[in-house]
Amino acid sequence: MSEAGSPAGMMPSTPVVGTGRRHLNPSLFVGGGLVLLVVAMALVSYVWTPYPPMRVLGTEAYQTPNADFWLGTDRFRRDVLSQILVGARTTLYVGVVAVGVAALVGVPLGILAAMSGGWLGQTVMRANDILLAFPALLLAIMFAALYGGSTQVAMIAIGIATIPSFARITRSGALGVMSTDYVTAARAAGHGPFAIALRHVLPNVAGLVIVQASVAFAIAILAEAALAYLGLGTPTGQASWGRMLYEAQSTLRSAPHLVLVPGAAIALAVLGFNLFGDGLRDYLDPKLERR
Amino acid sequence: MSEVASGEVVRSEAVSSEVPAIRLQDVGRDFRRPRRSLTQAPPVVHAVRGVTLDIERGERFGIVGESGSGKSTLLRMICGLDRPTSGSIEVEGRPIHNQPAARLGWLRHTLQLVFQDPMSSLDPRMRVRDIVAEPLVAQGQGSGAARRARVVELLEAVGLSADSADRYPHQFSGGQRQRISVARALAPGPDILVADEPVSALDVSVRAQVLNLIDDVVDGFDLTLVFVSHDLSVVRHVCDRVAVMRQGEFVEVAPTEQLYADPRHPYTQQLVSAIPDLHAALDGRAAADLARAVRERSPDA
Repeated sequence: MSEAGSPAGMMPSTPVVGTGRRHLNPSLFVGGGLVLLVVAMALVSYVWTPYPPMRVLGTEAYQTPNADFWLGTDRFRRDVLSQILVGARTTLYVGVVAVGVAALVGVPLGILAAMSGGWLGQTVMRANDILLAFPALLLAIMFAALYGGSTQVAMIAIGIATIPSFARITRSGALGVMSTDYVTAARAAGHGPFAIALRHVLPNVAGLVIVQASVAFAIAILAEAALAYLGLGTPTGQASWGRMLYEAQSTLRSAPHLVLVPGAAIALAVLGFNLFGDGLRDYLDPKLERR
Repeated sequence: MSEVASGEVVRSEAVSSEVPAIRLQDVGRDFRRPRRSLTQAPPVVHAVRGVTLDIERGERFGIVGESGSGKSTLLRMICGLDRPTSGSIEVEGRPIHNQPAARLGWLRHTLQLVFQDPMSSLDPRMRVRDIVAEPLVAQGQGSGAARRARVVELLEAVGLSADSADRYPHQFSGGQRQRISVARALAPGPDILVADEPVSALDVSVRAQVLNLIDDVVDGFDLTLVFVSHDLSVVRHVCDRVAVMRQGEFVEVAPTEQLYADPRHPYTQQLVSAIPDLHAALDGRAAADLARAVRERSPDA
């Protein structure tokens, strides 16, 4: 085969190797920035807040943002910025635990369903469908009614409600992996199903699971805010963005900044994790990589 | 060797008293298709039916057939990855058709596989070192250091450098990836190598190299080879004896040269005549003529 033989229009494309063609797409960039911002706020709150976040200060209530109180004060004369910073912790805490619970249960179930097939796989997926049909918020309200409203109960409930999405996406990825020759090769090499799940299936669905985790994180943040707003999540006396919204709703007209600030924080955090998830999906997708 | 029940198979083979490497007796495999109606039984596909065959030790046996002829199904059963619905399969005198996977550990170091698609047969997330060592890990052979040494030895045996071990599959070409596949298959020191269309996905220029490699390792490691292909010209290159498979059955089993020189079964004749021929090509008989010839022979297609 001579070089002259290949027409210019059909340049034999050199196989795309590694990460050469991957670009930081805007979603990943903006989403990642917002996520980092939330993380930074949470970290900063451990070492510095302008004022103790939950302490009633000797100053006026309902102050609009000014030099002393950058984001104003609420009706209990507490500093809003300090609460927002500490609230970022609650937000991340809830997200991490809820997503952790969902992934730890959902991913093994998805792999089990994909690898077992037959009645066991069917049973797992049908049980999954039943849970999926149950609105997350309803489940959380039920849990709150049973075990009392607290951050912990809220995030466990949110986590349980998020299991099906993890199980589903893991199963679909795992089915693809199970049909490859390298899994057949692993069977022919003498590996049992457990070793195959750990060595081949899990690493190859990890990308999917990470993307799902970032999207689920956004949903968890929103759900926690909703629960706190309903008075079923984080109790009074602890900083939470949803809780701040709840406490500010009666003064929506007179002190709108008390609603706008936590509302914007929630919106930006959710947006950030969603964009991050989208960006990550594009970044990890091997099909897009080739373009 | 007696004729099979169907009686259609044209057989010309030597009789041997040794225990064969692989013995198939009246092997059949049916698949149920999804139910189409509530009242009728689901339709059944007979992927493999009534295959009887002995493959002697050290033999290089080819199985040829078009796609859908059941050759891959047959192969999976020989490898203990699927079970026949009827008949029996013995590897080196030990039955495998009725054993649970947990009791086929011995088969995993007796028989190994090379696959068709060099893209899908290596886990993209594993280093070559771990891919090649996989059968050793699975069978608990050797310590970490011993495995490392063995991987290097195997890579060199298939013509790859030792530093390939630290790279990932996507950093290799199709031909190199098939070499990695061969190295993995050789790792547990098998007696039988099963190759499922190992060169079909490769460029013509690389095919010969991989075929020569398989040739070399079969010689060098004293292996029995089972080689499946849809391409008679490829099989001719490596096999001593060939079975032609069609619609789940063997239609002809014969030593390679005899099969090419004097195909007995009409389907074999058709296949042999369809092999591209340099002289024909030079004479100006192009692919179009071959296509017409094929169409004339199989009006139902």
